[in-house]
Amino acid sequence: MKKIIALLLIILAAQAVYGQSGENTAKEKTYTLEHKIVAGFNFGATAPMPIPEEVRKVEAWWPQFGAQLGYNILMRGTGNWGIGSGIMLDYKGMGVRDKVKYMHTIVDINTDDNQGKFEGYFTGRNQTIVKNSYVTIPVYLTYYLKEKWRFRLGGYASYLFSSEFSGKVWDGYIRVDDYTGEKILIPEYQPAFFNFGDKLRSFDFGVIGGSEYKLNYRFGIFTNISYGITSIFQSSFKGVGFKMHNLYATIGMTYTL
Amino acid sequence: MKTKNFIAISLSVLTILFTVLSCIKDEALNREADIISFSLPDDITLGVIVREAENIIRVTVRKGADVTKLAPVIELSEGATVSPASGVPHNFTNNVTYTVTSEDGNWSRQYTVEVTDNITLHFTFEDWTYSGNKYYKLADDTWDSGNGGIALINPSVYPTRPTEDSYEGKYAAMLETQKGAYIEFISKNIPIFSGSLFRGKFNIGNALIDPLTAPQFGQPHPVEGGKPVALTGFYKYKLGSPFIGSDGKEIQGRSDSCTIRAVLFKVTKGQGKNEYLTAKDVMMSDKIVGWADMEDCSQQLEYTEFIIPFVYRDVIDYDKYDYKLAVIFASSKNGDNYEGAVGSTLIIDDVRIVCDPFDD
Repeated sequence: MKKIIALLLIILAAQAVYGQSGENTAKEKTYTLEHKIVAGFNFGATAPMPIPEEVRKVEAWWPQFGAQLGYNILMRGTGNWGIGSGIMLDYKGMGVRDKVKYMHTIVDINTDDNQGKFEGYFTGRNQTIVKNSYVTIPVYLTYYLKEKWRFRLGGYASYLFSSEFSGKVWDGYIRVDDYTGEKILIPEYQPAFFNFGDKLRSFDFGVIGGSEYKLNYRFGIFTNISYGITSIFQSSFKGVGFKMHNLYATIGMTYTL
Repeated sequence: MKTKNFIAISLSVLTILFTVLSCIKDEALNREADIISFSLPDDITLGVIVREAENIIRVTVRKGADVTKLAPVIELSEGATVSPASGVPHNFTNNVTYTVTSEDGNWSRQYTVEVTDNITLHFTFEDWTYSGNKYYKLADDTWDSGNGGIALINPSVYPTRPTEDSYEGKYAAMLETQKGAYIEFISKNIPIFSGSLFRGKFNIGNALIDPLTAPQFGQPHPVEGGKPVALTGFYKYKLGSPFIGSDGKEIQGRSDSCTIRAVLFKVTKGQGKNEYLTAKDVMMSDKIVGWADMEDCSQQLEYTEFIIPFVYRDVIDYDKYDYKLAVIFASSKNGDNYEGAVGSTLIIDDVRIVCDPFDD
């Protein structure tokens, strides 16, 4: 359902842009178009929202290469309102190191006395690296304030073309199957690894909001926040015990063509 | 001014983002329901084996001990409860079932406790547990190692742990001498940590103050246990290198050796509970009445059997004394003086104390 709504929004936006521009060539222009190149940096987290009780302490967080690069088109009506869309390469990633209690996972264990893939509840320390590459199409309403400011609110659809979701756990233990199951120690010196990169959904739909400040006719700076409404994992995948969402802030430059 | 506004807005957005991300919920109640340790009075207990996979606890008591009203002390997963409760006397003539319920009340495990009075001085090193989720320890808690002391400095590897390179069964005990560390508390560099495994208790409280008294060797050896005549088993020993002296410097031309030793010693009759040998006096205490010591504990890359007869210098007289038996393994013989070679690895399996009944 969400997918359908997002697709409809995209189609409507495309019609608004192209359909109207054709129609209006002969008449007096009731709108202005703005084409711009956007280049920014995403940083944030692909994480369960809100943070579930399984996470006891976030010890460290660091961004991955998170470039956002693309083209946006904005159409302003006669008033302060407009509509915008575009297409962008969108890299979203992060690293996080945390302490967890009873985190459901599937890990490859290779210690002195246990080898193999085990599913269960892990307590100890965890490190997760996420590096996802998307093609993103945003659709949003724009509000123009005093010529220099633009605020926007809308949605986005992202197609995942490359993904990594991997990490390791150590300094703890996993209870196999359930909390009373076999207890396998995962020592600090022999971490167990997981890789769920192939379990991610191909699409991510979400909401965006942000602002842009025009420095001059050509250049502007912008900040944006985007939140993925869909869980990043395929619904059939139960390896990770909670739904994870993309929550990223973007800061960057715009260049008006 | 406008640029400032923009920066302010950006910072607010980021602040909101990180506030959302860093909000940690209250910790959930524990869901585990394990018996971590189960003990009956020391004066009758010869050994306790917790078989986690089968939910069985096997307690060996001295022959003839009254098992009709024993009050076990049970250590559980944090917050868990057990029924019947810890400390409540019970008749162990037949097996007793204990049900542990997790702190959150949603999970439970049932353990069957079997109390037998067979004297089993046969150690297979099959069952291991984790102490404090940090390091390995034998499930039979009549055994201990120096791991608990080494835990104080949070090493990456603990010297004593199980290995699948066993002679018999699934596991054997592996003792591997590890690189030491500078210990701030005593302002001293300890060049190596020897792996150790012994019948007795490691007193963590002494580990930093007076390390030689931290291992407390010996477990009760009642008259029904018979006279120890030989220490037997299988071992492998791989030498590490180089040999490092207690000053942390390499000593050329010296090689490491291991310790395989059993000692029978006397304690005060009826009151020997807190009497034991330590690393200070295990070689020359005047309490020692007999010992079995492997004199040439050098490199053996394949499993090799050892049969070491006990040598006695004193008579055994249960009318005057009680006795305790210590069995001690170490991957570096002079590990108590922090001398040895990193990587020296002793693997032991299928150890027996062969005992003959006393003549009278």
